[in-house]
Amino acid sequence: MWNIKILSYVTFLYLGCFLLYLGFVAFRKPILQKIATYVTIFTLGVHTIGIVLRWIESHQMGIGHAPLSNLYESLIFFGWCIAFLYLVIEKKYKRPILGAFVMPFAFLTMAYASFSPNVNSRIEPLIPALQSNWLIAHVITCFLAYGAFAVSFGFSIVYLLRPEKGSFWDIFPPKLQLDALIYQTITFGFTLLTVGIITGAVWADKAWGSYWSWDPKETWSLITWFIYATFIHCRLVKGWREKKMAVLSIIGFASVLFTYFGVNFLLSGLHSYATPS
Amino acid sequence: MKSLWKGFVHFLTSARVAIFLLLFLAIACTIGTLLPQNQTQEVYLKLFGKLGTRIIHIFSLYDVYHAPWFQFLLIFLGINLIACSLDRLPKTLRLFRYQEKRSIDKKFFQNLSFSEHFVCPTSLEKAKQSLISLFKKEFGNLQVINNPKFSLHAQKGKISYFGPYIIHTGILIILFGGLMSSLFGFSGMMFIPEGKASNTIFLQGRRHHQRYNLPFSLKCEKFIIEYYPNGMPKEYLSKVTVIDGEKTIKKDITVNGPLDYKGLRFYQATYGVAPEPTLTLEVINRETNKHFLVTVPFNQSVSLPDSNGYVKLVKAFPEFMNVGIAFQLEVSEDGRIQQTWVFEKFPNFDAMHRKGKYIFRLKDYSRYTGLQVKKDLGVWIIWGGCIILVLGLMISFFIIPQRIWLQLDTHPKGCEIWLGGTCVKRKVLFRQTFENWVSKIKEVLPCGT
Repeated sequence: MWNIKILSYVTFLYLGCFLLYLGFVAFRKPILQKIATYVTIFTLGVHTIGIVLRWIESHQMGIGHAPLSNLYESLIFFGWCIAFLYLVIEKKYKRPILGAFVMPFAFLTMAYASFSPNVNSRIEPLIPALQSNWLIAHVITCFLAYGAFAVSFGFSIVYLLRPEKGSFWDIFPPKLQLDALIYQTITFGFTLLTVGIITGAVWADKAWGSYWSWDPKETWSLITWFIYATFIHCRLVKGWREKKMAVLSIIGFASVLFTYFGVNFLLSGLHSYATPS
Repeated sequence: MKSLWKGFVHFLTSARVAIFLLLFLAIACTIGTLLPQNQTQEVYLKLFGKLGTRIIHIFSLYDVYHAPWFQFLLIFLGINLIACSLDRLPKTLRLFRYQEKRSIDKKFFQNLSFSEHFVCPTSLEKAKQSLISLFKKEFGNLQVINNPKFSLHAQKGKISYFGPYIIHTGILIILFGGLMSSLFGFSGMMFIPEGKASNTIFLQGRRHHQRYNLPFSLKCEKFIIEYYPNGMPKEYLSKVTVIDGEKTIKKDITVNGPLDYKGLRFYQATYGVAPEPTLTLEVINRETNKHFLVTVPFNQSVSLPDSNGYVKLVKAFPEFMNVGIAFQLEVSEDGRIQQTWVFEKFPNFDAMHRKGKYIFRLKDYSRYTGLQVKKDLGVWIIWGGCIILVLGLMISFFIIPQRIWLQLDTHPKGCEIWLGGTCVKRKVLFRQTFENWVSKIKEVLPCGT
């Protein structure tokens, strides 16, 4: 089980990335920031290799399937999405130095997947209902959306902590830019969440004969959708900006977390295969 | 009266109502997931007491998603979407058609939200050529003005103004499709024992307890469960034949592979012991230790190999006293008639509890397959709405409507360039696009500042 080993090393690499970004915030040496970015790219590369290896190993076991089928695999992919989206934003928007507030989430999801005794990391065959290509489309879109919401949550925290002026906070992007970044990541996440809900509905229609059955997971993803729809309307129609938006973004992410974990632990339904065993 | 109507229209078209509706729907859904749904009166009494149960009944909280007020919220959301869209459409159209009429001069550039001004040591004619080719690449509708000064005007992404309308149209179509589903669709179950045919559907939902007879029938040839080496189920599969008059069609229905026939969809939903099953028993002679298999149809005596007795399946229990599937057998050995049982979960029951000439073990039994049947044309309306919704989201969020102006003027050191831009949404992000344009120009024309 090489993949599990590699993925548990990746967990520590993310911790390293976080510390490097934090080191940059503390010591303000530009070289640290550069190193942090490159180490993150390297970590994401190793992470990708781990996921691909898991896929290959599942085929060698004769029960080949994309590694997106249980809680462990979804956590691993969630961590991947967070790191990937953060790197894209860093590249696209000229290095907003926010890694110190995003990498902890990548580290925490990986650590939970790798070290929690409740999360089963073995490769297991797929039950009949999960044997569908819609599974891949559904999981990828949903977790990219969750990743985007996690990143926007990290940005919102910086937003709320950062005073308008303050020498410590000067290396972070100005509030106006943070506000725009939060909105940008949320619109990205919202679009993907919509696609994720739709692909889920198409799949449910094929496997269970009903595109919508008010299953707790479905309903909570819809609740999350309603919250972010409210966020977008408050901004576009009512012209809300800044602090209120950052707070709404945090509420939205709380709802994402409940959709992901809360529903698995507290409510039962069709998605019960994502529960820890 | 008129002012009342005006107030009503104002109420319908206000964004505040839309936001309120979204939040209220979110809260309603939360209640629906946290409060146990569709439970009996006793359960609610136990959990919430008398008052709580009364509140639950008054607001139909025992079935939130089908409560009249929930349906009302959804319909209200639809009306609000239409009203808001109609209310704002003229404004959007004006924005879409709007053309800048002012003359382009220095003052014009200074008034734009983004503007930059720099000097390049390139000749005017050469600069004109390279600028036109640079902008042509990105803008299809580049306007070149030569009088009084050489200027360029370009814009793109105007379709983004209509993004929200496209999104809302998609949502309305989805709501409409859902309404069609619940009004005209039906779903039900078919139970077909292996080797038998049926055309009866037991309806579910609003027409509960009714039956519906199909104009054709389905025969279940075989129901198969495949397993992985570790014992987990791999696939549930019904081999069926559609018998429609003279025509017969063979098809395998699996969990992720329903059968479509004449506008109906058949899904693999469940399975169980057939009502009058046929058993496959392994019979072992205690003395010679010889094994052989016998097939035992329901309620028929099947003679044992040395023809000195018979075995008969008397009764089938899909669930026997919490120990699972069980079958009651009547066994006759050398004229002695005994009762015995075979259990799915305890293969050695007969061997341990009956001292006879033979040991009976359950090998297999015939099953019925449970197919869910659905007719729902609303689904296709919903998928159409979903495609429109996603398109609308992409158009609104990832296309930035932007306009750019450029003016070229003579300068002692070559030429002087004024670049200006506006965008309606996403000003902070547009800044980056604008800065990219400045650096692109400076790349094409080697410039100072």
